[in-house]
Amino acid sequence: MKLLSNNKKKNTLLISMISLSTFFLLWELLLTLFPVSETIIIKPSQILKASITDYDIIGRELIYTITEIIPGWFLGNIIGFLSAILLYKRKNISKIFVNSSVILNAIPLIALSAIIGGIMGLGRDSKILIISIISFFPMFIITLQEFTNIQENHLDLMNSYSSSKKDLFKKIVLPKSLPSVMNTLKVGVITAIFTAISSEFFGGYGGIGIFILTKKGLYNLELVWASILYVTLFGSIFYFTLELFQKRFIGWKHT
Amino acid sequence: MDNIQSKTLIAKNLTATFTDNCKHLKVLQNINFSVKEKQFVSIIGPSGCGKSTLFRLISGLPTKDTCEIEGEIRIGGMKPETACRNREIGLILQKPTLLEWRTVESNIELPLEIIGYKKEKRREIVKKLLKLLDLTEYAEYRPTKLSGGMQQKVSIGRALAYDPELLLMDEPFGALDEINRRKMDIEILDIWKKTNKTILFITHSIEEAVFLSQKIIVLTKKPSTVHKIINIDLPYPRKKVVDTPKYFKYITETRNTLNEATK
Repeated sequence: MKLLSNNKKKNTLLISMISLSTFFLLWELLLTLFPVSETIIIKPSQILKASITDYDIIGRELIYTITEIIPGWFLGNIIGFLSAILLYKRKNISKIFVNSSVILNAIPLIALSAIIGGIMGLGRDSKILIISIISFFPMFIITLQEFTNIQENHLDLMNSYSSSKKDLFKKIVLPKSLPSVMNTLKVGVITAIFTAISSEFFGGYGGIGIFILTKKGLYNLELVWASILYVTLFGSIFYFTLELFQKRFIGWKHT
Repeated sequence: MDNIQSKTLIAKNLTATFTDNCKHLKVLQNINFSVKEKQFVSIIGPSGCGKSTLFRLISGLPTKDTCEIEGEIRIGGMKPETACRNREIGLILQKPTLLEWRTVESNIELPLEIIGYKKEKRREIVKKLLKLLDLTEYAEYRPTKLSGGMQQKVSIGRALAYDPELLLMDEPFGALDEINRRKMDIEILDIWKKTNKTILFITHSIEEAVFLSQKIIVLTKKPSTVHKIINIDLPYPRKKVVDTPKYFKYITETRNTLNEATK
């Protein structure tokens, strides 16, 4: 049984590897056969070359953006999680908060970048703030929903032990919510990266977003593509680290 | 009047009325019965007759809707809420309600953690229970890997962990198929014999009630009251008497009584 699922995993990995490399090979081949102006699109081999030779410039910009992403992602999620803990017992208030958060979350908050940039300047701190705001809402909403949605059976069980509210939270509410919290953290990584780069497009003193804008202006597509590759790599490593953590520590319910 | 000490559970003139939105719905009316120490008693009645309300009232759990209660329930002389606080009641619910993030042994350990026992003491109790329930080899399993019957067995272990006087079971094997249900019935009798607990067992299966109990309380439909109490005078282990005419006589009697009660 276990062997079978392992084989299946290996197969899906193999298939995705093959399809990805086929895609890049086709891209390379088509551009070699039918040359297109290099100001429009370039070959994967050129992207790879640029990302190796220019690793220091791109790396510097990526690190600048990472120092926005990680604090912003962390702050937004931790504040969202803690606010949910503070509010979940106050049923009426939490309902109001969830409803207004859902509405706020529907606004394209990235547009706030321009306003926050105007107030706080274009430095790192304004980027961290916008990433935190955007990371906050999903974590807050999902955690609060998980906390307030407890099975009646579980309540009966804990009541029959005359359990305290604290024990109910520690033994039932928190562990049952962890898988969803973890999934939100994972999805939040992608959102945080996206927000960081787009808010840099609104202006800033450094980072991959600014780098892409300037190199695009100079028609240096190799560097634009190479930075996209770097961001993708960073995102994947971040995501899969979290996934590994999730499998290791809350492996009972893995999605 | 029997000696009150020997009676673990007494329900006296118990009446319950749901008072929801000015609508009065009488669920239980003037219910009287008692369960003696170490007795195995079943409650049977038509579905929707208020068995679950009765279960909640006895176990000291809050009822789902606002409920007006008259009469009294005494467990070892205490009110259900007090008995619950003193950990005299072990609940086995319809669903096993095991925590999927905990292993079998740590599920059994849960109530002990809440009571605040030290780790060594908890381990010792859990080990003993796993042995009693023949679950030792499954100690490290996650409950989702176990069959429905096994899961319910773990939940029985969890209820036994803090050594309550009374075990309350609300159709615990209702979701099992016929074969597994009989297997579990045999196991629960075995556990009952080994632990010397008083058991109140709610069921909707006539055969199960006869197979398990010394006394069957037959409830009428809503507003339910005790229609009749049938004493099952058969020796244990019951496995040996299931094919005797006396056993069939009890089944027929229970079925007829239940039919009368449903009218």
